[in-house]
Amino acid sequence: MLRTLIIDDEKPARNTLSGLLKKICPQVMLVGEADGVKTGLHAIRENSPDLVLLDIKMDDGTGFDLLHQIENINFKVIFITAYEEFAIKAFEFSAIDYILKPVNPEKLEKAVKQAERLKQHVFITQISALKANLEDPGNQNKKIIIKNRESIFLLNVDDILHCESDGSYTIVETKDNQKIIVSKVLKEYDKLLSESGFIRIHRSHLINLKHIKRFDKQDGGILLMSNNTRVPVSTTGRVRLLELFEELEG
Amino acid sequence: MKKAVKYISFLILFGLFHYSASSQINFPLELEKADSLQEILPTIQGIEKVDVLNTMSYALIRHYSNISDSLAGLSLELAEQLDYKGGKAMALYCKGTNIFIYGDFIEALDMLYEALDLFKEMGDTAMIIDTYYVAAETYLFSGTDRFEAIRLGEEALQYSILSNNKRKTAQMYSALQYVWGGYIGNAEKSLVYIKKYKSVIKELTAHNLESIMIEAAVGRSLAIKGEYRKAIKHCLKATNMLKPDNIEERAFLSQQYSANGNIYLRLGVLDSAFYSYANGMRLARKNKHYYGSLENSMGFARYYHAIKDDRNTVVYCDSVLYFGKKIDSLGSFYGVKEYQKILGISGEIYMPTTNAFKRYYAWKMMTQAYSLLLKIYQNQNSYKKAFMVNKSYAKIKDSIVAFQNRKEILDLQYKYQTKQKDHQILLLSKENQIQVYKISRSRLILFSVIAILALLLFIFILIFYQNMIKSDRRVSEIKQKLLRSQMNPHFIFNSLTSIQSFIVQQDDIKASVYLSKFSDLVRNILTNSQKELIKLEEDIDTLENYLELQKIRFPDRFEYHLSVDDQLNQESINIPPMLNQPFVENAIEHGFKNRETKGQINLKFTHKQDALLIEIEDNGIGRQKSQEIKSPMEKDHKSQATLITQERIKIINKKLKQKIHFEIIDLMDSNGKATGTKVVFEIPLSF
Repeated sequence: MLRTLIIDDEKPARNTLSGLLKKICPQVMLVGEADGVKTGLHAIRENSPDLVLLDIKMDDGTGFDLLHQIENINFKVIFITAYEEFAIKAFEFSAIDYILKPVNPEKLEKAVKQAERLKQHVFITQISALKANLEDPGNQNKKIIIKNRESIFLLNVDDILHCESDGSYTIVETKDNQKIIVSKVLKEYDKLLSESGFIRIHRSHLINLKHIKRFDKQDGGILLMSNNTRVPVSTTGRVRLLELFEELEG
Repeated sequence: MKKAVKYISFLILFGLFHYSASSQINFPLELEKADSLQEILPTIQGIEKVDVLNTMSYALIRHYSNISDSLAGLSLELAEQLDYKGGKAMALYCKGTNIFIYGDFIEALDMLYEALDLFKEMGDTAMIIDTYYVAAETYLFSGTDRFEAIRLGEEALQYSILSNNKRKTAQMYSALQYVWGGYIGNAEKSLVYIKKYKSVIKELTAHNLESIMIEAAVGRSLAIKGEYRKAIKHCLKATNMLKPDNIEERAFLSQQYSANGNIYLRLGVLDSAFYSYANGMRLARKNKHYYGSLENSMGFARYYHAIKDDRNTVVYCDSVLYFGKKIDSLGSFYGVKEYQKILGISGEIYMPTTNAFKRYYAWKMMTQAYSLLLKIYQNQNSYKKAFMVNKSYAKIKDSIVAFQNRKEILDLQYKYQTKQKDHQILLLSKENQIQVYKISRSRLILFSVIAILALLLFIFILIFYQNMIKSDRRVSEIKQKLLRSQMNPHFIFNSLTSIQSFIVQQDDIKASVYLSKFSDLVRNILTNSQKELIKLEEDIDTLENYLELQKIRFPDRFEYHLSVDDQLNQESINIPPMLNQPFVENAIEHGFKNRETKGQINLKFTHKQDALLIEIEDNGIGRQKSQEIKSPMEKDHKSQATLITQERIKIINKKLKQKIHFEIIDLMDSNGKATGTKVVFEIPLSF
């Protein structure tokens, strides 16, 4: 059984979650409810849950405030949010599950299942990435979680040089020449990283602008990265890249 | 010519029976001189004859203009045959003056301008002064361009000063004060010229009538300035100087009484006004001095109008019209034929008036009577009478316009001036290249000043226009902000989640009820945020929906009580949408944090005089505390709602006479502990 605690300051929201969980997640055992940061902390100590459904904005503080006050997180968290744009971006970088209000039962079910399978140390890493990202809204030293079957990597976004598509996998290449193969399509990383100085220069290549060393115009164009990797540039990628250079020059 | 000459003897013969117009100080009649010249006329030829004819014409000018005109015609013909410039100029002057008296202003000006050119060519200063003077008169009495009259008068004045002709200088000062004060109504200018006149006349012997005129003119100028008490002193002095046993002075006196009455009326001393008009009327009646009767009747009409006696006002207006029509048909200020050539109004000492001009004067006064009558009939709703009056009024106005011949005279003026300029430029280019250079330079400066001014104007317009666009944009920005602040996403998604809880609990009725309430609210917000004003009813509905939805989110947090004064007509009162909602939201989401017991919100809609009073009172933790415990990300949104409301009110108030007031009051108990917040709106009902 998955011992589950719901923390939300609005009673109807708690009712919605508990009602839905009863119906669609038989493995869940509700061990309590709380309506704020203070009562939530108390309930966690009291009930030692495996999973906490945690609202972000509550009367006496945020869900993050609550987690901040726990030294040793030995449970997993699914965040519940009505509308916190800044948090959603942070969740995505940290690969943490979140659920939007009003609740979609299918997503809730999937999130609970994933939380069940998720190893505690992986979650701890994700949470630390989340903390770093939340504390640093200026996007410098942004942390990103990259998981594959064997390991979980907590990387600085700036340390990623280049992502290459390989079918339904993506190869992430880092500054120290690590190559991590992830079972996610390149498009997802493009979406996540496009605001952090990455540019798609080819159907199969996403590069970090900070690591460009040289642009050779021959043969349609080749980019030389800081670790001397050569990356091909497509016609549209070339246009995009030249536009960008012009902007930087201007 | 024989006929004309004969007529002069005839005049001398009967001259005794004629009242001599000796008061026309500036233009004395010289019958004897004309007569003696007439005797030598057959013995002379050529240039000499031209001179004699001109001298005769000049001697009779303004008094016997028909004869004077025929004599001038003869001399003009002769002078042209002889190519005698001096004679031609003089003949033109005399003919022009007579034609002016006859009333053909356009032809008169044409001749005077030609004469002026010739006199200038010959450097005959005395005649230049006279010609300018007559041309100025023409402009003044044709009513075309009083300022051109002043300009020409100033020219005459300059020539008088330059030629050191004290008598002419005094005459010009006196005439100019008369035009400024009596025609343009500029008291300051008039007083300046009076002062100059007085300093010049000291060295000469002043004509008695002129001194009286000046005294009266001081009074008139002070009256124009609104200094009625000082004015009446001077006017009374002038009144005492006038002797009622002389016909002309009696006429002046009658006029002076009417002027005194007008000032008394202004002062509100009604009995003195009445007494003055009565005196004026009495004097005017003696010699059938119609103009005096006309002016004093108008005075009485004003007097009765002032005391709101409509019946007598109408009687005296009719009297004005009666005398006006008399003057109009006779072309004389007097009803006695023998008096036709003597002065009928004081201004005539400066100029000869023509029959046409006497009519014109009467018309002017009649328009005043018509306009007063029209006012009375309209007030009495006597539309038929008003209509009739209006018809006659329009006719008189048409006559005035026709008399003025405005356009033709202005064309003539323009033609002369351009000619003058061409002439000048020609002279300058021949004689003095440097002068031309100076002119072009000053032109250049003028052009650049104009260009700079135009540029500044353009920039000004541009800035103004931009500001307008900016403020437009500001309004639409506010509208959007309002929408966004009301469509608070937290509220929306959390409300939906609350409704979801009914679904999960399978309470389909409640789910449906609140879903429809939610839809109503969203609909209202979407439509209302676009409108400037909505009905009070709609605003209260929206607010109630909002409160209901908040209550399902926080069932244990608060209760609310909404009361609306029965006397308020919710359907007819319009107010700007959702002014109060941000404060209700503040109370619910922040005011009741960390409370053990349920909060209470009281909403009251009442009215206070002609304003709608909205009070929102909560028993929450107060503004200060709630601000302290807000997380950083919350502070932003909330204070914004209040800011938007403040800004909205500011924008709305710009367009209103009666302003919207709003006030936030921190409620305290006797120990100074916060016991809640009260927000009060006072919205004018006059939207």
